[in-house]
Amino acid sequence: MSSAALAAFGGATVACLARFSSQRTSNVLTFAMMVPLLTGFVARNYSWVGLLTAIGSHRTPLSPLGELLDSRAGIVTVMAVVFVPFVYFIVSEAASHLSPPLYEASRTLGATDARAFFVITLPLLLPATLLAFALSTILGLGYFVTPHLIGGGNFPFVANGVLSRLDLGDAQGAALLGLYLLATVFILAGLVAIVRAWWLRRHEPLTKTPHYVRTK
Amino acid sequence: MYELSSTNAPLQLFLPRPVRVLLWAITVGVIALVAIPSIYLLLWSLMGTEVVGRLDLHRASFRWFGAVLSSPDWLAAMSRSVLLGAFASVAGALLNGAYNYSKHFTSLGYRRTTNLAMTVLLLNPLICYALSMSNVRAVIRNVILNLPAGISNLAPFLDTMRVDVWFTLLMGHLAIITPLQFLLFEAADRGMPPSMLWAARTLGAGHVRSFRAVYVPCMRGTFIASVIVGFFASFDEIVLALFMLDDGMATIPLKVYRSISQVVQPHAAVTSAIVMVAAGTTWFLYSRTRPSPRFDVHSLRERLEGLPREVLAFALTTVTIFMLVGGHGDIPLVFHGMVAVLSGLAAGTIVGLLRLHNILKLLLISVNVETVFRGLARAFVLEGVTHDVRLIKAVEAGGFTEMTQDRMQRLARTAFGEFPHGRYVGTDRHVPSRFQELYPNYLHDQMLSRSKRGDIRFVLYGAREFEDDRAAHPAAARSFVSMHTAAGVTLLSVPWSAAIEISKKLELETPDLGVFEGRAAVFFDPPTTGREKWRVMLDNVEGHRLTQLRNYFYELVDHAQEIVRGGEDATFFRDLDDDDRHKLKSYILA
Repeated sequence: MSSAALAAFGGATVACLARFSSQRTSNVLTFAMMVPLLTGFVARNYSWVGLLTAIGSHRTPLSPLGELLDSRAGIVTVMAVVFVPFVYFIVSEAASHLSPPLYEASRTLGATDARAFFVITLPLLLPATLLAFALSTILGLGYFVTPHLIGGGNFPFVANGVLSRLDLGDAQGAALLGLYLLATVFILAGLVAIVRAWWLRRHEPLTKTPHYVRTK
Repeated sequence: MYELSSTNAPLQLFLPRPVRVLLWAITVGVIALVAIPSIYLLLWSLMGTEVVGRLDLHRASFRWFGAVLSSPDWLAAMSRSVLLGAFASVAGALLNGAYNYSKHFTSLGYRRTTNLAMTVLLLNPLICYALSMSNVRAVIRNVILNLPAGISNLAPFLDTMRVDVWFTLLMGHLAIITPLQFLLFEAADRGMPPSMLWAARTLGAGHVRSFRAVYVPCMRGTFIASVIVGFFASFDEIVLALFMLDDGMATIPLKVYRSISQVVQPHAAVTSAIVMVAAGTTWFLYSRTRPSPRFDVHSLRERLEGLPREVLAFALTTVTIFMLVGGHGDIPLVFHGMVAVLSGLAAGTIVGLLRLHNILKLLLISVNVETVFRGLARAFVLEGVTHDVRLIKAVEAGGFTEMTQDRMQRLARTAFGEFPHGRYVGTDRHVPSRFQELYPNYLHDQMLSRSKRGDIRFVLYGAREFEDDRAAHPAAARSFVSMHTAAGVTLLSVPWSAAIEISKKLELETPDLGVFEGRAAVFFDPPTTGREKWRVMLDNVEGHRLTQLRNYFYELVDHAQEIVRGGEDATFFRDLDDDDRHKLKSYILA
């Protein structure tokens, strides 16, 4: 969840900036988010192994970063970086629906741009960010590649537990662990759906057409 | 004809400076973290040594590329991944297509249930799939080993071919990619009017014929996109492979995963770099060629249009690959270069003539990933905005269509969104104050969102009408001219009577029109007194229509004066000389 939270924060920030920038800047940011997707998932993790090894093997101001390899912080960081593009694309879809009239109206009503940002932008982006966070968490729960490659298998993750039990021939234990994982995912998804529905109801004036102009 | 208040317009004017600075600071950090591993991977593949992560910065070479491309193990892994991806993606696309077709003839309850099932599939952790599929594999293997007496001779063959493994793997990949493809079909399906399918059924077509003759052609792009998405999702899949495949049958991701502990040479970095370069090249092709499927035409002229670019891109790609291999092989480098150029030219010619770039551009994994996640966001976060697509399809049926001003503005927005980069050449009959009354936000929004590509606007009124309007509404006239000038738009004035006469002579439907990128033309017939709706027509710019429009613009240029902005509020009408006219004519619809 910590990696999903970091990814949600980073990805949503970039998506928000892209929406509030010129078309050219937005394209550049989108391209930057596409670059890791061109690489492939396993390769990205593999690259981090090489990168952190290289950083750690030279005496430079950055060499403490090499300690991230085989550490919990390293796993969280790399998983967050892997999830950031997913979050970006989900939140940018929601951000594309932020339209100038909303901000023009807020200015007309006397709001400053800062107030409009906190009262309009953030509430409208929050459901998408929440969704991205939930999806990243769900993806993260079933992860084993990053914990194995970056963490060196030293940190217990559910998926790694399933694999190690299978290696030990404990198929029943692996299945039970898988079942727990499945149940956790569905409970989490249910919670997210409830929170999202509550949030949308609370901010109905921003997300729905007012009833007095609603057509049948 | 212009957008009133585009929801896609940039919002940079509304972001307070401190927040912008903060967002930029975080973004720079995020992008560095996201992009650096990919860059490092490329460096590693070129400067890698036998020690993991250690680079020899003074001795870059392509020897590792040569080693990988001449390694039977890596090539076999590549072919396995490609075959598996191809089978799974095609099968998944067909299944999803059939399922989405059937949804048009089923109840709402059924559709909701199946949609929920797909969502559940999407949420299911991969490790759980893999766990259950490994049990399925054991069952299938048991069946193979205990075949009935008549066909029991097949058992050794099936066992040797590892049919249980590949079948289960295929099923597993299908289960993984089906929800992704489903999202694509779901998003595209919203834009397709079911009345077409119902009409086919009413006319007596069976479900098979209706699917083949109506649904598949309408959803052709989605079928291709879903195959591509499925292919890359399958190609990059590792969890199932880890559960099912041993070292002798590994796919590319599995080989990369295992190579970290088994191999010290940077083979995995090289493989990833090759995939990255291939995907990047496809992205480049995609970004350079962007014909709209909505206005797609298939004339030989257009097929040839993109040819030089395709040829160049392919030649460069092939040269690069051959050079990389050539750095390690015994064959002279010059020979590699010659073969590369010839292959590139041949491949580019085939690609250009067969319009394969439309398929190639879909090969871009990132674009498709983006599509998937945008579809995902639509499915969960916001309602799909497909109104414009329906509108386009309705107008595309041919002839003028009546529509409200609001719908006309949606159409204009879609057209500007569809052709955001190319030149817009249009005419407009409304004086500045009326123009701003009709399109109050156009100057502000549309000018900001469009790339400045030397648009040309003919205003169909003379200097006297402009001056009269300016006397009554000085602010409107000032902003009209200054915004156009600032955006690099050439403003030309032609008297309305002359435009009417020319359009009648050339048998144009209306003198008021806009041409986007020289590809699509929108004809506008605004309402006169007593009529509420606009009449709008859409047409491809090709063949006779191209000649007609070109002649129209040429004759307009002959009658035109340029509206020039002087200092402060000064605006004057300047006569064009022959040189100006010649330049403009060579520029319009060139």
